[in-house]
Amino acid sequence: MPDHLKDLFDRALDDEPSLPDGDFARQVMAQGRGIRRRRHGLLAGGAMAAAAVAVVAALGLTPAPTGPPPWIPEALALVAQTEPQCTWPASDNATDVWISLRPDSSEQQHDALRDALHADPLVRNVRFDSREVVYERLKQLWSDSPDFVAAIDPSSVTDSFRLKLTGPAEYSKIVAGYAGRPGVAYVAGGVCP
Amino acid sequence: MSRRTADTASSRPRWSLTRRTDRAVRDEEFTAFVAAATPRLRRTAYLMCRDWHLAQDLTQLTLARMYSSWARIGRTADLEAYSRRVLMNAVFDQRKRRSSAEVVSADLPDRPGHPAEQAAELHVTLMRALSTLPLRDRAIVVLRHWEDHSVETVAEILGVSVSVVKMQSMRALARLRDLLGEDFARQ
Repeated sequence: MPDHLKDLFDRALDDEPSLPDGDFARQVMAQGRGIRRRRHGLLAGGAMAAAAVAVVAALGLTPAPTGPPPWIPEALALVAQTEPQCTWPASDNATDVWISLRPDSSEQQHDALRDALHADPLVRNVRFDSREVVYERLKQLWSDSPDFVAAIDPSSVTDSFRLKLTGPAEYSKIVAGYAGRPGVAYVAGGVCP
Repeated sequence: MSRRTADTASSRPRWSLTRRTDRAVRDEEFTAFVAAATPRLRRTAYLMCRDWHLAQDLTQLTLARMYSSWARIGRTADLEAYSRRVLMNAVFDQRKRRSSAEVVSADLPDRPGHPAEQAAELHVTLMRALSTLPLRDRAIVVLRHWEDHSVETVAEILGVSVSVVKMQSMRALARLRDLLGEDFARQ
């Protein structure tokens, strides 16, 4: 059946309209820049607002109207933005989790969390992202927005644990289990491919 | 922070030259990628949604999302699989947003009972049958049996395990066979 299936799919594609003209790539790039700007817009609020506004002003743009829900720390927003393939914040169907650590958290607290996470059957894998690593990733991601890069440094972000869950139903249990632990600043969920 | 932001305007000329060259190179690479990837992405999108306009929009959104992170992903080894992943996410998002607008299967023969249509328009029947499958099963069938991706690649694109792909692929094909009748399976 599969061979036959391919033929049938090819036939189903017979009425394909012609492809868009040569400007298509330019349209795509314009839309892509818009997406990047909205990502900047996401950071509005607190200290980052100044940076985002400065970028927007420098580029002569109107700021994106949507800010983050106010309860998400900007630093965590930045951390999560290093993974644009993920949709976040998400709760019901979160497949992935960022645990953002307090700036004053200790090595011992990190170790305790790491051990707990590794032992947790709800967690498929765990990665520790230091703020330096996150900062490097951000710099790379926004390498074509030097104004923005100039406005951030490693202290703009936090150390964090990045988790992949065994299933989307486990997010609330993760929040319940880790949000109040020593050294944890915030837990956020996202849907990642 | 405020000192830094005040500096940004004056610091522009310093970086602009090399920066612009980098960007021009990247844009050229991206333009070439768009030319190469668009036809197939759009066909895959069409097989998922049966609507060429929507397929065009989803393709554009996919490419735009990739462009927004091109500096980071432009040199990754498997752009093709990556683009399918972004596309399928766009398809899934789109479906979530208009989940009430399910317009399928109303006129699907429940059993092979329309010989004329079967002979002439089996591919139409197939597309209708396909649209009755759960979205992820549909994605598996399209990626596996039209795009010819390996089970492993499909698993990676959809972020599921290999065994899930195998199982759901089997289930989906069985269901298509069921909907389309035995004649279809033998052809």
